[in-house]
Amino acid sequence: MTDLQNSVEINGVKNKIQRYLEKPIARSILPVIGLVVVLVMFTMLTGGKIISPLNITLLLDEVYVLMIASIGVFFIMTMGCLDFSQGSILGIASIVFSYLSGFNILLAIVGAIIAGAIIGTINGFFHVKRKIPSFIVTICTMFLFRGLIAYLTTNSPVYAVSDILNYNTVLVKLISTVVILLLAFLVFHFTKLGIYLKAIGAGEIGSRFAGVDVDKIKWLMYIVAVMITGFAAFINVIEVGSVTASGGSMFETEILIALVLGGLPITGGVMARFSNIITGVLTYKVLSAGLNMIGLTTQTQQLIEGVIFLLVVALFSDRKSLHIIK
Amino acid sequence: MAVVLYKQMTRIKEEGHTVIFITHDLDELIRWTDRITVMRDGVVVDTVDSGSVTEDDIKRLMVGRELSGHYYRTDYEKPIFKETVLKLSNVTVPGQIDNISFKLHRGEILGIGGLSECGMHEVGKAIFGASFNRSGDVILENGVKINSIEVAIKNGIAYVSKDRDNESLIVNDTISDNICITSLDDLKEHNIIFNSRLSKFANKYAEVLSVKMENVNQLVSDLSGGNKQKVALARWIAKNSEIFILDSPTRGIDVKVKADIYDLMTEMKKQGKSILLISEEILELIGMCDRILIMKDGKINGEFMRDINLTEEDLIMKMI
Repeated sequence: MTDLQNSVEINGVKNKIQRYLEKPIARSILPVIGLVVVLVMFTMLTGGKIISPLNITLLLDEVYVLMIASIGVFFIMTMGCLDFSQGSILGIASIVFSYLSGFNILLAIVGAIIAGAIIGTINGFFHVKRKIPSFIVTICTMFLFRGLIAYLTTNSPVYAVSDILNYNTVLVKLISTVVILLLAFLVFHFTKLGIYLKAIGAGEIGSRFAGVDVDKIKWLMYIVAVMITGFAAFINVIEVGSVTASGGSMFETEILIALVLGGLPITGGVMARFSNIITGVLTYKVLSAGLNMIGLTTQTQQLIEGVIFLLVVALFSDRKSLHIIK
Repeated sequence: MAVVLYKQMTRIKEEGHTVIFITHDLDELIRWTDRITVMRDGVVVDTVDSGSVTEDDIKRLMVGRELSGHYYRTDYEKPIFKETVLKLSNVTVPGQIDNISFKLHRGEILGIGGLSECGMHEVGKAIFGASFNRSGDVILENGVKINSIEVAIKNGIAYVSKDRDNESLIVNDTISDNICITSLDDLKEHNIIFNSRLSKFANKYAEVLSVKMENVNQLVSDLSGGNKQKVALARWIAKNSEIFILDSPTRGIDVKVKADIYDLMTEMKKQGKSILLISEEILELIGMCDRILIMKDGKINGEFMRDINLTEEDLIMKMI
């Protein structure tokens, strides 16, 4: 066979793989296979420790906050936008929650959600009204509020009332997570909004010409997404009882990696599947717990996570629509 | 300003170099060139010496084709329209449309023609509420003013853009979503939307338009130009719109689908729908329209009623 034939052959195979990866079924199944592979791999590497009952409990305990916050970002990414300010929002909302927890737990939850909504309004304003790409806007707000968190926690961590830890039961966390997941699922699959979100991700101009009020929906989703994260702050605080200067840091990256591992295209659109959230968060948590258990340092873990992230994005990105990241 | 350009062209010519000058303006064409090549539909028609021709000769060359549209409408009786469905008054979009007013009647196919930069494509957008910076009024028979796309759609206005892949359709979305997206309010039950219902609805209208596809969950980007256009039309027929703005609906489409679209337009006219046909194809305008408005530099420069004796030349005279 000549070189030319060879390269034609290789290109043919490449095209086939590419085409397979673009099929909806690949997007639903491959992430699940990924989760299984990661789980099996670390079971072998840790001699079964990772699937011990104790560890599973610990693992699930870590899932809630990430799972809840990922829902909002899932909506945003479905529209083809990004949100890097989630970590700072989680931090700020946790601080607000802690401050208010002394008065009343419900008031504290509402306060955390409102704090989120305010930041979401700012994100939405600059992205929608000032037409600044969403990743730039949210990186700016990330730094802004990271600074505010550092300022508020300069002298000491912000403590919630001590009996807040009483709320830290599996029941509270599980029910909250499941309820929010369920609500989001219903919105995504059975409402006009769900169809609009995918349409905006698939084509913003086309959606506008089909009568979708793109600006309004985008702004609304930026607010809703951080309100959800505001609620996640409640779970976050009842687990630890206080917020330090690093509260919520790198959290936005965790969400992003989780969703992408779950099979969500970075450009969003019609390929977005609700299952991406659940598969992605579980995969990410197993991955980071596994890396931790085999004794890697935090730095090495981050390095490996970064490489995996890049690989998955490169494999799954829909090249036809890559220019439309907003 | 133009004089500077002519001077430079003359200088370049005198230095022994060559200038290729592409223009619609016949006056400057004859005055400043040595030879003129006329093209039509991508084919060179003739090359003549500039000194030996008049503007009319060039126009004849630009037109000079026999009417070959056997798939157009065949009726020529004088239409009588009484009921106005849409009125534009003093509509202006800076740099595009300059103070345009006209009426569209029930059951009428109104054509808008002109050179591609004359502003006619913006007229469609302006009516649909999609123009930025529009002034003037677009008013329906019931007095509703159209100021946004949402209001336009809600009041039965359909718009199929010349830019099929970006504006008419959401190409990276499914056929089903593309057909259903404007009808979701009619398809929901207590704010709940069932996917099975959408598929059924989409299938029904994809079949009405005989879209060639595997299933309605296929992406629109996989379809051919003609089938994409069918999906774009299916969306608005499904919505049961009353006023159709069709901008270059047969552009880049094969003859078979073209004929289908003309049949569809005739059928819609029979049902009492009103159509605004914006087209760069003169024969299409003459063949399909009850009335034709010709635009030039953002203004209406001529109006023609349906007539078997109407020629391309008549229309071109008003365009240039």
